[in-house]
Amino acid sequence: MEAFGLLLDGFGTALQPLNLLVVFLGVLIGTIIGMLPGIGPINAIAILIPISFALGLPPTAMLILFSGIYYGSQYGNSISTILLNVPGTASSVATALDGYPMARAGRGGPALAISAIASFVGGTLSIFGLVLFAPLLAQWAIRFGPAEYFVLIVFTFTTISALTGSNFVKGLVATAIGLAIATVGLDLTNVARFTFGQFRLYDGFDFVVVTIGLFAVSEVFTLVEQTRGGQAAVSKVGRVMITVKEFTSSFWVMIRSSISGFMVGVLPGAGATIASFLAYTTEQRLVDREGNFGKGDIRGVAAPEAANNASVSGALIPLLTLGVPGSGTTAVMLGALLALNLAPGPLFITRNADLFWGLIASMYIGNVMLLVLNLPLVGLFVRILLIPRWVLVPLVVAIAYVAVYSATSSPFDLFAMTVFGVLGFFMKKLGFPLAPVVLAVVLGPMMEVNLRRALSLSNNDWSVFYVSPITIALWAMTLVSLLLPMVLKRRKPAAVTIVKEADGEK
Amino acid sequence: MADRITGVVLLVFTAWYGVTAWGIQRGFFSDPLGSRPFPLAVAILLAPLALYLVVRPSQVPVVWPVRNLWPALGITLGAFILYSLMMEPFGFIVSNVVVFFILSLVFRATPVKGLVAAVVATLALYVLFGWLLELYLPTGKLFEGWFR
Repeated sequence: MEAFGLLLDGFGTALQPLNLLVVFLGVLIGTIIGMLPGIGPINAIAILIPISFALGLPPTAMLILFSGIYYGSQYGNSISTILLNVPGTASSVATALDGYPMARAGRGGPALAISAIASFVGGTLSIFGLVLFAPLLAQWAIRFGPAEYFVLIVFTFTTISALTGSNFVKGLVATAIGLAIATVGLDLTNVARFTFGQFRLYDGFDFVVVTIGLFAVSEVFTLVEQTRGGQAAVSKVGRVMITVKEFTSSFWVMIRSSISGFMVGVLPGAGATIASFLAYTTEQRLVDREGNFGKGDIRGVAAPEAANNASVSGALIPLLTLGVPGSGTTAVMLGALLALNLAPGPLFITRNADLFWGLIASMYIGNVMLLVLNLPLVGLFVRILLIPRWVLVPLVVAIAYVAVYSATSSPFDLFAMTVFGVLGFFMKKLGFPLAPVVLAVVLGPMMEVNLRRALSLSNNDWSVFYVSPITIALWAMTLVSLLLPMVLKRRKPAAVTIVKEADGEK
Repeated sequence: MADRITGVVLLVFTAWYGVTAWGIQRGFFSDPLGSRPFPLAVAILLAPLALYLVVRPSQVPVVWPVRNLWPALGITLGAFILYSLMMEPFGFIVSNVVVFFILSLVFRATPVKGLVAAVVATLALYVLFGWLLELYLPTGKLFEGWFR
């Protein structure tokens, strides 16, 4: 019952006025950016990092804000998916399969309602998983030394390369490019590398600059390409309600999808996209006896929405207990925590109990807020979809550039951001995933530090990397992740093919 | 074909990166491994991957923007560069109005609507960031004398 007391304390933290305000702002911003095509949680968090540093937000409020954006975006992305058939992020592509047919048949209201309810079920159920498994994993990870961390990061890189994008080799190239970007600047012994005598390169490239460039700036180029087609028409919403019968038919679908989504979320690289497709195809096999999936079956909306929300809590586990995130968005969150001198790791939860339990409590509050925002108030959000692109895109650009400039006061960073934008545009065109780059930029320095520290401690004895049982297990998992793409290629289940067609996981 | 060219570009980059990494000197107080091996390992990882792309390019065709879109993309890029060039000498307000206006035209606003949106949005952002959030927004070196 210790956890219960801690959770009560957590509510004490989360109900402080500032934390209540940031969780509301977080889920509100999350819903809006999840809905708008092309922005996504990773950009919103990256843009807000310099702003919240400039404002001097305390770490707890910052983590609550960023997490709120992260899970809030999973609610919001279903709105544009269902009404416009334009998924805000890849993780809601599966929702479109039944959500859009429902909207076209005039059942947009029920589709939005079930998506909000399923998101709530997935979001709240998975918090139990987070509370249950995070301390367990932390206890296990306490035995991790530098060598174990090094191998764990190798494993994270191979998994994300294997699971995002369409091509394993291109995923690895993206990781290597990120590592190369990470080596620019002074290293841990203050040796300048790849700086070419330029003092402004001594600090290296800030991960915020790299992330906003690769994701937000490059997206503007992509939008320039698309916009020439004009804006899509928004389907009628109708009453956002479902019947009791519709709810009971989806009940077990939501429970099962929440569990599987949570577990997929814990895996590095898998994330919300794979979670939603896995849930969709599983439920199709389990409950769809009449072959209604794909034609506007309400359970086909419930499954992916419960799963992609549940995966968010799962993804927070490796971030908070190991300090090794498995996705682009959690990598950006790690970057913010490191900048606050709060290195997450096995002792993070016990040392920062108020922060961890405050976050957990805020997630319950946030999910309730999201249910209110997404059921009665969804009509208001739909209006945001009507803002013309010629206002929206320049506005996002201005916010991104101002956020970075206000933090660094360096026109050079703005220029670098533009260069990364061009790089991101060409990488997307050529089929390279972007998430591994961001992950490698954040984890690269950590990887090198652990490599060098392990060798210092062992007096240059390389066997530390393969003698302990943990390193052996991690190498075995790395090997599996390397072989996985070949196995998948041979079998090619439908879900994987669709995931690969959808853009890489953000 | 696109993959082959990408592979070649990556090979050139890897060679340059590897040679630069080779030239890294040891720090004064250094650990057993030193500063050079990690970047070298990145180059050694990248080289076979780039070669693979040259030898076995993927069959998925790249959909390039249609020809008449390239000018719009070029103007967008120009607007971004203009922003970083204008920010310090002209300050936030002037550079944001100019860049916002150009981008809204790229996204097919009429000039009048684009200009109105640019001015309104810039003032709104100035109030939000500069006044409410108290973030640093440059006044512009050219105008600083006016307010002294």
